[in-house]
Amino acid sequence: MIMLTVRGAGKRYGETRVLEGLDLEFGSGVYGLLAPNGAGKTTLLKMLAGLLPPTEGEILYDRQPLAALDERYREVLGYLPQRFGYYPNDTPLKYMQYLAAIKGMDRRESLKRSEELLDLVALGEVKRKKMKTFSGGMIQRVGIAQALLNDPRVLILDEPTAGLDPKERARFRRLLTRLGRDRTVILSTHVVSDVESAANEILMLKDGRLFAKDRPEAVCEVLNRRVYETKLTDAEIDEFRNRHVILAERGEPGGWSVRFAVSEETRPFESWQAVEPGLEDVFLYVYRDAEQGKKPAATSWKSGVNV
Amino acid sequence: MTKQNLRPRSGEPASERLDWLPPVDYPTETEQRRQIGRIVQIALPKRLSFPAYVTEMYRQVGFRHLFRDLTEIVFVLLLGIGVWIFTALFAMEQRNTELAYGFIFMVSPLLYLAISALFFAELRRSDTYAVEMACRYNVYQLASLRMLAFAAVCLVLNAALVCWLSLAYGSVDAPRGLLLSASSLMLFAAAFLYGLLRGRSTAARYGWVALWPVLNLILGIAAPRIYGLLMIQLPLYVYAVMFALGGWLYFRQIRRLIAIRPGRSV
Repeated sequence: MIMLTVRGAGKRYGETRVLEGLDLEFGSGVYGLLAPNGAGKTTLLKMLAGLLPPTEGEILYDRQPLAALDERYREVLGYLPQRFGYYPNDTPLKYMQYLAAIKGMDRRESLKRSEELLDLVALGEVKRKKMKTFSGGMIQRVGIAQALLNDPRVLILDEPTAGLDPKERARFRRLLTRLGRDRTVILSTHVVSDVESAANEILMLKDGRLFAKDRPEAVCEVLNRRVYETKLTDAEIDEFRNRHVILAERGEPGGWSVRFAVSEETRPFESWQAVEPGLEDVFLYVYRDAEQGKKPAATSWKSGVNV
Repeated sequence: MTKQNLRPRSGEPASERLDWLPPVDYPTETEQRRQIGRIVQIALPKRLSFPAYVTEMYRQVGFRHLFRDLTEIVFVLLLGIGVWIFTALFAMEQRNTELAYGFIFMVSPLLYLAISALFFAELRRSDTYAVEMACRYNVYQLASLRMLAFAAVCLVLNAALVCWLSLAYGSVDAPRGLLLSASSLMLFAAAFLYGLLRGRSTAARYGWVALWPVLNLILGIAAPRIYGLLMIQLPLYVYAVMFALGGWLYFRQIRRLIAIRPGRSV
């Protein structure tokens, strides 16, 4: 069932257009929003959370505009902002209870739920310690727990894995999969592995527009038979970098082991070994110009081959 | 509509005959009304009146979370005691009754101003803004509840101060002092929120708030006789009307604050 609908939504700040022409539908499941920094991920998530009104188009929950629903939408919303703010002198339990109160939860229920969620994010033993003594990862886990307080139907998480160690990330991915079974979970990240296994759909933003929205396997298909691995000498590597998109490289005795993507027209050499493209390959390929500030080569996902 | 109405008449073309449809148990009138009522209830939830909404919010948020932490409570208490002592000392010094009343009128809103200004300054500075904005009672709805509580606290503190002055030093008439203090607080509080909500820039908001003491001082210094007469000559019901008007305006501003949508700020 479709819960959230985005219709022609866009966002401008003065003359600067951050997002435009977004048409999206979200039902139950985990949606991973992938894009490099500054691509408008946080703006889109704030719009979906009802914290930022779109300057064009509209966003609907259960076929009603978010602005009209107002607090009725916030009752079903769980939100973790990119920069999770907290009161350093509070304990996580106290902070959770404060947030539970302003989420309109029953007082007795809120204590039980807060303790359960802190246990879930492995903070049960430090629930009465002041948060100013916590590491970044621990704070982030408090943030994840508070987003789940009101058992939300829509869960929006902006870079939830920032600061988590690999073990915590793995646990978080399992939690996501469980949560996505009967609710809408939308998370943004630029860590591809966070969403590769847990997300039912991947959304990619480029130049303020939706570039892709598909299952992870389908997103990867765009680079089918275009990702290879090979070994190169020191003399070859520089020219190779100019001709192809390097996805990974590792220095080895006597040369380099390189994973790279080629354009459609490129005919592979016999020494190249074709490999299955992964989501990270697609991410690196699609956003290869983002860091250099070049005009992006990719223009359309629909055409499939035009990247 | 009954089942009979759905039965095809003989002689109707086959395409218009409805007898191929499976029979449907038509709901009774009572059942229809019940289901319509339920749909309307879900689609159009009952809008609470302003007092009911505020009461419901207070019931759910509770006194415990009205102030953020102990530091805020201690600050409010210290500030209250400070203003209290300052006002008492000044009023005790006055041989001139008009000046004592004028002073009460001018400084009564100061405590409210200090607490509220601190609260709004913290509001935008705080990292927790985004988290709290996404909760059922967002930052502005909480702010409105706190503003009401601040006004109530200030009314009580001011009333206690006036009563004490009246008892200890007979120069201050308790009913007049109470009405002066309460009406000035309500008028100022309404103007304060109006400035916050309507002011287009920070400078405009500060300027608006500063008007209160500035105007009072100018009037008190430039035309002390008129100012004094305003304080002691006007009948009490005028202050009662000012208090009622201020209270009404204040509640209107509080309602505006509750209704602020994300994307705006104060």
